Amino acid sequence: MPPRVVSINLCADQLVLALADPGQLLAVGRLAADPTLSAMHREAAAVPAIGGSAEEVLRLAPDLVVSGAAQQRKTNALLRRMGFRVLALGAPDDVEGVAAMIGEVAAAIGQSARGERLAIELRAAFRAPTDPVGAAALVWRPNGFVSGRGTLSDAALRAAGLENAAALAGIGAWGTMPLERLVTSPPDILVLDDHMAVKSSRAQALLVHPALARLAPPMRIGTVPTADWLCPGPWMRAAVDRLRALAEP
Amino acid sequence: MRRAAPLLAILASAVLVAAAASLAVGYVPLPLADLVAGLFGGGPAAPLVQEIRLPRTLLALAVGASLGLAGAALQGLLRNPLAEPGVVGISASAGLGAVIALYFGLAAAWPPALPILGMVGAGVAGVLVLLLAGRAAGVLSLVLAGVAVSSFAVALTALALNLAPNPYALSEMLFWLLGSVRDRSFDDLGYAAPFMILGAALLLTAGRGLDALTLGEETAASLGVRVGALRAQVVAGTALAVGAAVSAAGSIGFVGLVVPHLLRPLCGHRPGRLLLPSALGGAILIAAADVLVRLVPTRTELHLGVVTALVGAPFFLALLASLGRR
Repeated sequence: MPPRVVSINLCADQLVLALADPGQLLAVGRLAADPTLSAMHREAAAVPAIGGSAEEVLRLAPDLVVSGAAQQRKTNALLRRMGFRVLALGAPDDVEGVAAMIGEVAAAIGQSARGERLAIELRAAFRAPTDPVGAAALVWRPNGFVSGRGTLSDAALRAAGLENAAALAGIGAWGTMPLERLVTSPPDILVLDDHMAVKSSRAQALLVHPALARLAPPMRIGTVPTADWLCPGPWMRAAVDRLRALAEP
Repeated sequence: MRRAAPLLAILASAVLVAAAASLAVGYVPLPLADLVAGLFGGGPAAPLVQEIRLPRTLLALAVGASLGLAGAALQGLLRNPLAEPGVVGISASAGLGAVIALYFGLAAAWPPALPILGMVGAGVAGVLVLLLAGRAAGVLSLVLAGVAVSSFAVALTALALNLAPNPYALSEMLFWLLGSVRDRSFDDLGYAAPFMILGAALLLTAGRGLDALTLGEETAASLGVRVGALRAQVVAGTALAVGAAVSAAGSIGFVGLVVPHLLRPLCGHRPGRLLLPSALGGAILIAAADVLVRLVPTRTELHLGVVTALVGAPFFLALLASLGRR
């Protein structure tokens, strides 16, 4: 009998939805069913949704609570005080870290075999290509936030055969790229998050500044659905595939 | 004091009503019988009521009381109706201290470091405001000093969150700016409550001195009040009460402004008489606001500071306008 699980964190929700047996999940967070944020929104529709308060968890009396280490800090402490087993997930910044996290969650919910399979799939999705395109891509998020060296977005870019322009510019894990610097030395491809996750590209509409629109062409602009790489997990292969498609000249 | 007794009785009853509402409202429907049984011993609801709702309610009451009381005492000390822990920057500085304790590992190594650094932050801001705004602070100089101290502390808090190894800096910032008592446990209450009680004791015993101070510093001194000691007592009491409150619940604005003002006409214009009613009023306001944030069906729970600002900001502007006309 696998443990009965409640998850109260968007990223934890998606991992347990990917790993657990149907019926093993007593509830997941409400955001898990939101297609703009969650890659597992279809699976989440079949599971009861909760707001994530300690009260709701207590009523469901799960064997295990899966949660976020930082965002649910207070709720985790309260639940542990009451004797619940809480698995609080960190935010891994490389593929091995994600694979280890998948293994940890899988072992905790009694689905180790499925966890191993998903970890293998994840590593395969992030394997470096034999013929890298070599084009420089910049992941550009609201207010100029970019993903530099040592982030999962960086790993996804390199898995797609792209160079990370932010890492080339010497930006560490998370930083900002001033618009002026971007305009002075534009990347080959500008990658935007598509919160709407619609099929047609909304890239032009997402551009926050007219100066960016004047760079394209020759700069190409592409989007990755936010849900595909907001949280670390096996669904990130969709983000890598999307980046590979963008990298095609 | 005879006139104060009915008011205190009414406020105390309202505290009990607000506390009962705070215990009864939550994310899980709970029949009244289960709630009562859970509160006083056994029954299936005991863990929910005793471990989740009760510490949350008690913390809301204690935080509200600390803020209301500190507001009333500061208004008496500075002889300025706009003085309030949030307006003068004490809350924001307490938040800065708490953030430093949390994100640089001090609180993990030794839990009392969290309220202690919160109180240090609040104390530094209290002394700064006294120095910047002068002893009998004018409206303008007090508000400007508060704006400066507050913005500085908020900026340093953002800086600390950026420097700390913390990928959730932006969402954490919301908590430190707007406050919440969501899912707090008796551990959180245990670290903060002793300091809040000590601070409240210091502030409540300052009443006689504050009454004398309304006559001016020289008259107060001639009545045997040591004004310097009084000032130190109020700043220390505020630092303890507000510093501990903010380290547990984030900074929640406007409570110390709104509550004393609503109660002043009912207490007469002696600041000493206003202290205890303001503590009770603050407790009522925060407990009620915490009921409201659990009832409003938002996607994530509203922060308490949102509710107090929605009430308090128009109030603050109206007050400022009426002071300007005077």
